Amino acid sequence: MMDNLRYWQFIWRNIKRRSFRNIATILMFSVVAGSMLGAYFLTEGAGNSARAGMDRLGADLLIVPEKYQLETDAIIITGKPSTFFFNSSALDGVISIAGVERAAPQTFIATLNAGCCALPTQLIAFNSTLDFTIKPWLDIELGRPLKKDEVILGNQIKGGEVGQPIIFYGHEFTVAGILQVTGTGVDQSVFIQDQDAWEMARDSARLAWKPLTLKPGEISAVLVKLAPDADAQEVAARIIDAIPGTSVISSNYLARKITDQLSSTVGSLYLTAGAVTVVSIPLIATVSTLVANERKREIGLLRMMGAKKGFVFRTIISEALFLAIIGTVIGTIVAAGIILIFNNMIVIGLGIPFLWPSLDKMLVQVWVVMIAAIAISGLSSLYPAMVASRLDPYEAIRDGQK
Amino acid sequence: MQLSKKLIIPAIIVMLLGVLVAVGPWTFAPVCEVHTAENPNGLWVVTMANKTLPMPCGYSARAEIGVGAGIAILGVMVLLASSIGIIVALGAMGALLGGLTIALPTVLTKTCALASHPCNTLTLPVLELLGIGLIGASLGIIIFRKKLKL
Repeated sequence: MMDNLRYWQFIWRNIKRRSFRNIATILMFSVVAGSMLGAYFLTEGAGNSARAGMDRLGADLLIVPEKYQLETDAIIITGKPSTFFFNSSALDGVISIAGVERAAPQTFIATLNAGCCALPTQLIAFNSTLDFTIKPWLDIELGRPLKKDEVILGNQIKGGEVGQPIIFYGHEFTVAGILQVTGTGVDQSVFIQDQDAWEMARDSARLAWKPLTLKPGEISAVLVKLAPDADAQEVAARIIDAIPGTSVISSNYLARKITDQLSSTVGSLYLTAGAVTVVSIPLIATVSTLVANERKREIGLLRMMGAKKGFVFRTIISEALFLAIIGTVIGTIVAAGIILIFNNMIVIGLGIPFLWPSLDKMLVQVWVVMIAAIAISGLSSLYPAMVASRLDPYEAIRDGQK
Repeated sequence: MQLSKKLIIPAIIVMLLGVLVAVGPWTFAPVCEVHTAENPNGLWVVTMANKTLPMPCGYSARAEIGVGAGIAILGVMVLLASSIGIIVALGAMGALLGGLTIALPTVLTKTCALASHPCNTLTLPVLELLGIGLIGASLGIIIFRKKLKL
């Protein structure tokens, strides 16, 4: 009867004729799709970021004194700078615990006024002999060990370019490299060697307006690499038993913490999507019925001209599906756009890290939401489409003229 | 000079966007150096020579005053447009200025390095939204040029 192009033109013209009603339907699908995808992007992005952050730290577990756990969480998750030290002898026994393959200390120092910006930046000093987290990166990306007074910048410390000087506590360093983005606090950290940190602390008394008190042997955390067959939870329990007063941070713990922080926001988004979905089914059914009734004359004329019942049925269903698809596409673009534009505000406001999920994962989720929208619109317009297709042509024209 | 009533609404939208671009970074979406309740002292870069300079976002905010003024003037010109050709040219110029509104804090003068700075949490997204809004409005003027003619 019609080739595909003309059929879709026919559908499009029908939709344009009732623009206000159809815009309302599209808006409804946009809200459903936008809320569901917004919630997904946030949860998956936060989880993705937590994994990337721990991967970048290169450790399976991070051991800190119990009283500094919140500060450490904040450093890793949001990059909120902290300074705390304790004597490394407190964690001497870590390497001898079963399941621990390697252990390396790190020291967390919050700067006063970095040369690149006016807010404190997190310096992470690593042990140049024991470190197993930064050195592999240096081997791959830099191809050489870090020289004296060289630093590695997190991805969001853009104040310095490679080879440029950068000043902390009055001590001049040189930027040797910039890490890949993780979405976590690691992006806002600067990695330096512990010997340089001690020298910086020593010189800070005369160079910085507020001196840094840090002595050799003072550390903030111990990073642990597990033996290949070791279970993270079991080893964490052994560490806590062996060294009382310590907390063990793992990527699973961070993911759980982030999920808890996100739960109310994500819950509200899913609740919105659920409520709109529940309302949309009877609403679309009513709208489709109204449209079918309004178009009785048109349907009757189409039938008189030879259109089969199936054609009328397909037309009503296609219009509803078309609206669902347009609504889902708009909802997807709006959800992604809001998260993209307000990324920093969301991350700071919710206290979560964020790294976009991979494209294939996002596309799968968009498909799932689109199929759900198509199912909702298909189901809702099924009955009106059946009623319209069964109309007697003569009766339909006569009723439509009333 | 003949004014087209159909051009009043698009012209007002463009003018309003121009004003928002110019004043936003100094008022409702302040950059780091502006004193606010959250940032009472303002943030500045202090050089080794103890000289206080605005941060990159401060330069972006200053540049946006010029861009915003240009957009507002463009809005007045839309109101006075007398032919479809001029409407299209003004629409294209509006889209370019929308692009410039976004490019200043993202590519040209940029904002501060840290994501937690006020310029990155509020000023940048607001300028991006205003830029997108202006590009959308300008493209709308070009697409519906025939409906907008005198």
